[in-house]
Order: sequence, then C-alpha cells, then structure tokens
Amino acid sequence: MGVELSDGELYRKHADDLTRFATGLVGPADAADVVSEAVLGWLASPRWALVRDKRAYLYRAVYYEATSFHRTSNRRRSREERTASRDRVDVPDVRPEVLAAVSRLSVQQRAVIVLTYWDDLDPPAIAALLGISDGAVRRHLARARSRLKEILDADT
Amino acid sequence: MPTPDVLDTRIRSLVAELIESAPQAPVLPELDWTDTEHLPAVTRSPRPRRRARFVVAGFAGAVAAVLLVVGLIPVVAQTQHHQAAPTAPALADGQWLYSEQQASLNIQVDSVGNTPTPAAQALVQATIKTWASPFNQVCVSITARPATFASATNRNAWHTLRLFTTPSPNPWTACVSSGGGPTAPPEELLMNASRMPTERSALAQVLSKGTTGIPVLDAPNSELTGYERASLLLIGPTIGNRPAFFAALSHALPLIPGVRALGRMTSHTGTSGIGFATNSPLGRSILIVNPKTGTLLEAQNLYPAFILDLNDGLADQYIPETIAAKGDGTRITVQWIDPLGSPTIVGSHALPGDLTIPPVVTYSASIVALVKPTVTGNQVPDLKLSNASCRGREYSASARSQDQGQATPITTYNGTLANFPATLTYYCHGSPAHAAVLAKALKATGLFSSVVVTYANIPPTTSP
Repeated sequence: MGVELSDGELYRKHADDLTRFATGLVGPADAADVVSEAVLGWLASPRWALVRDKRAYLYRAVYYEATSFHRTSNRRRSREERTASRDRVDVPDVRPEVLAAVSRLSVQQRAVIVLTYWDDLDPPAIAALLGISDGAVRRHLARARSRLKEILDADT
Repeated sequence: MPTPDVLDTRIRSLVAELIESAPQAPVLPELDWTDTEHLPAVTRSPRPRRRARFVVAGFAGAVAAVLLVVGLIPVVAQTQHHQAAPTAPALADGQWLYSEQQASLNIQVDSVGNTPTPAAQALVQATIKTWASPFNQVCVSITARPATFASATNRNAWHTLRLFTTPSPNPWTACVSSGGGPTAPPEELLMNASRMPTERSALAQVLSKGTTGIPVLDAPNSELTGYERASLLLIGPTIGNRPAFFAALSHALPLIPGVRALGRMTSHTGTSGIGFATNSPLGRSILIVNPKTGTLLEAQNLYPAFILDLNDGLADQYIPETIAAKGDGTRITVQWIDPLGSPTIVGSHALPGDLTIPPVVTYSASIVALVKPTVTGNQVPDLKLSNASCRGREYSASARSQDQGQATPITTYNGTLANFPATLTYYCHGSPAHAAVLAKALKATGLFSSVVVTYANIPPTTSP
C-alpha cells in the first residue's frame, strides 16, 4: 500500500502533464488558467475525498473546464482580468496554422487527439481517463482525423 | 492526399508542436494548505491601488498614531521555532499581550526645512517589543542598531546633516491609551479577531470592503486596501485569533483583489513559506506565511502608509531635535519584518519599569460634523479642535491629494475645500454633557451640513 500524496504533492506530480493536456485543448495562452480553475474548483468538490483514481479525476477536471471555457463571455472577461493582473508569462511560439487547425476541432476531439498522439493512449485508456465510453472515443477520434485530414489537405 | 500513415505522422507532428508550446504549470500554493476540501474557485480582479493615510490632529492623536503605526510593525506570530499557530485568547484585566519583532528599515530624510536632501538615507535594524492591554493601553520599545549605509554618498549626506549614526535614545519607548468602545477613535492597536469569519470567501470580502468589525481596519478615512488589512491582522497585535482564523486569512489572501499568490518562497532567514504579493509604490509588497498554520513568517516592503508616523518614533532616534525643529521630510519603509516567537500573555510586572503606563480612557461620545461645501479652509481653523473633554480630528474625503505624506488637512487650504466633503470628528471622554455642549457650539457656527452625536450606550442623534 503506497503512501497517499497530499493534494499539493499530487498536483505537482501531474501538473506538467495536465498543463500540456490543457494546452492541447485550449492553447498555450489559456492552459494555465484552465488548469488552475479546474484543479482548485474540482478539489473543492465534496466528491474529491472519495475519488479513487485521482489522476483521472484531474484530467477530467481539466477536460470539463476546457469544454466550458469558451461558453460564456463573463468567463472570458474574468479570465482576461486575471491575466492582466498576473505576472507576464512567456509562452513559446506556436505557428498560427497549428492553432488554426486545432481550433477547428471540438474540445472533445482535441482531447482524444492529444491523448492519442501525445500520450499514446489507446481508446479504452482514453475512455477510462475521461470517463466516457470507448465508442465515444473512437467516434471523436475518427471525426478529428477526418477533420484534420481536410485541413492538412487544404494546406498542401 | 496523405495516406493514413502519413496523416498520423502529420497529426502527431502538429500535436507535438502544440503541446511543446505549453507554458509552465501554474503554481497553486492553495493546495499546500491542509483543508482544501471546500476551496471555492479562485477569482480575483485588478484593482487600483489606494493609499492609506491617517490624519491626526493634536498631540494626543499624534502620539496615538505613532504607536498605532509602531504597533503595526510590532507583531504577533511565529518563527521557525514555532510550528503551531499561536492562539491569543482574550486578555483579562492585568494581562498584556507581549510580542516581539525584528525589522530592517530604510530611513530617508528627503528634506530639511526647504532643502532637499535625497541622498540622506540609512538602513537600520531594530527589535520592536510591544505590550498591549485589553483596554487598549499599548507600550512600545524600539531598540535600534547603528545606522548603516548603502553607499558613501548616503553616508556623507547623513553625516553632513549631523544625523545620528548611533540611535539616541536607545531604546525608544512610549505608551498610549487609546481607549475603546463604540465611540472611541479607530486607533486601537489591539485587534480582536474573535468575530471575524473563518470561511475564506467571506473573510476576503470583509477585508476587501473594510467591514471587519475592527475599527482601526474599517475606518473609512484610512483607505486601507484588503491586502493591507490582512497584513495588519497578520502582523498584529491580534487577540481572539484562533488557528482556524489564521488558516482562513492566508486562504483568503489570493481572493483579495490585487493580490496574487507567488508559491513557495523563502524569508531572508531561510524559512520556507507561501508568498503573496501586491503592487505598491515601493514595487511589490510581499507576505510570506507558514503554509501549515497561516501565520506570518515575514512581511516585505511595507508601503509607507503603514509607517507614516514612525517618523515621530523610530526616526527620533536618528534625527536630532535641531533638525526636527526645521522640519524634516522623513520616510521610513520596512524592508522586512519578522515576528520573533509567538505572542505571549504576561502580567503587568513583566513590563519594563521605566514605562509610564497611561490610565485607561473611556470615551463617552463621538461627534461627526460634515463641513458644508461652501465653507473655505480659512474658516475651519477658527474652530478649536480639541478641548479638555473632546479630542478633535480632521478628515478629508477619500479623493485626497496624492502626496507621499499625510493627507493634507483641510485647514491648510485657502480656498474652497478641495477634498469636500470633509469632516471634523471629535472623540469625547468624561461626561456626555460635554459632547452635547460641543455639538451645539459646532452647529451654531453654521459651517456644517450635519452634526451627528453618538453616545457610547445611546443610539445616535442628529441635529440638522
């Protein structure tokens, strides 16, 4: 039986992975905000203490946070205010066409693409991590590949 | 058209480029605290910096302000030797809350008379001891070390002005009795946190809005920010604080507008804690708190507002009377201040024998007189601000001049009041009848749009 990590230790253990995952979902500029919101918000949930697979729970938190990230203008305004008040963070350059290609995918499709092509997870593992069905993962993956194929074809 | 393998390769490359642009993971110091089960999401927004100033009229007020501010420096809390959150219960008669701090301060004598002397700067280290009674009697002892200088220019300028390098008197001591109760001046040094909320969102709100229930923190004219209120509570002296309060206070800090969490930081003594910062005219003010207990480990770069009236205390040790008589523009800023040990409760016998402890003051009433907009500054000085029973203070409005020192008293204006609405506030002790007589006299001047008298145990009455 392993030693249970504190919340801070658990977060630090997965922080980089979560931030990379969030970058795939919302881009580098908003990734840190999404991770912050997700982790702090979801750890406030009474369910947190009952969670067994905390890594998966954190991934889902980031996933759902990213899903709702663009939904309300209030959220956006709040985010911009926080960004304005924060120390400037230098974000590495990423080609606009990359961001443009990803922006044409849904958040669900981005999540599946990132976990497939970056983390090398197969559909069952992705399904377990995100808490969705295996079939849903395969559908998102197929649609994402099809969409990206169109985009990449258009570029060439 | 890409084949499936080629497509996978290109998608992999695209995803890799995107993921490799990931920023550094955010630091979330909140997670290092012990009770994260009910943390609400962090929200904060930028807020313009305001300045805290106290305008004090009269010698008694000035002395009180000196001690108020000295009292802001001296503190409570704990060092690396104390891991448990200090709990300071309410004090009983005959008990004093004793706390001790070490501080590094910068003294800058900007001018002497009308002559600018910007190079006259010195660094001093001081040990500050504070004793506070439950009746708001507070005594302070400051033991300072010889001044040191960042440059030869600073040293030469200091010596040219014949400022002291070795502090005198040393220690500098003073006591004040500021009274208490609903009609006392909002200058109690001893803050009672027993009724403060311990839910961090609620606590952040009362700190931000100035509705803490602690008069010195809520005084409308002080213009303290939420960060500054939190700083003062951390610094103390604070009674009625429970471990849950300190934990909540440090949790509330990142929810206060303009405050940001800095993650793990180390104090100058090497103690590790969680840092919080806000912008100030000094650059950045920082609080480092113990992540386990929420108590203060170190405060850095306190804005001069915290220490404005230290000029009358600590600086006296370095500025001879001949210079002070010419008028010196002295600013003292705190580079860092560390609590030494936890505050302890001691008996009266533990106070140094050379301290003259003032009697307890009981205020019976306060009077707030709102100056009419047509009144000029020249008319106001004609009013005697203080008498045997009532101590007067001038307050100008919040949109006061943005100088570095105290807010400009309305009595210095020669034309229409620049900071209207201005108020005169009197704090009266002794018989309530004295307050009634003064209120009547104020009303008779015709200078005020309202005169409100509040008696200690009687609902306020207003005379139009």
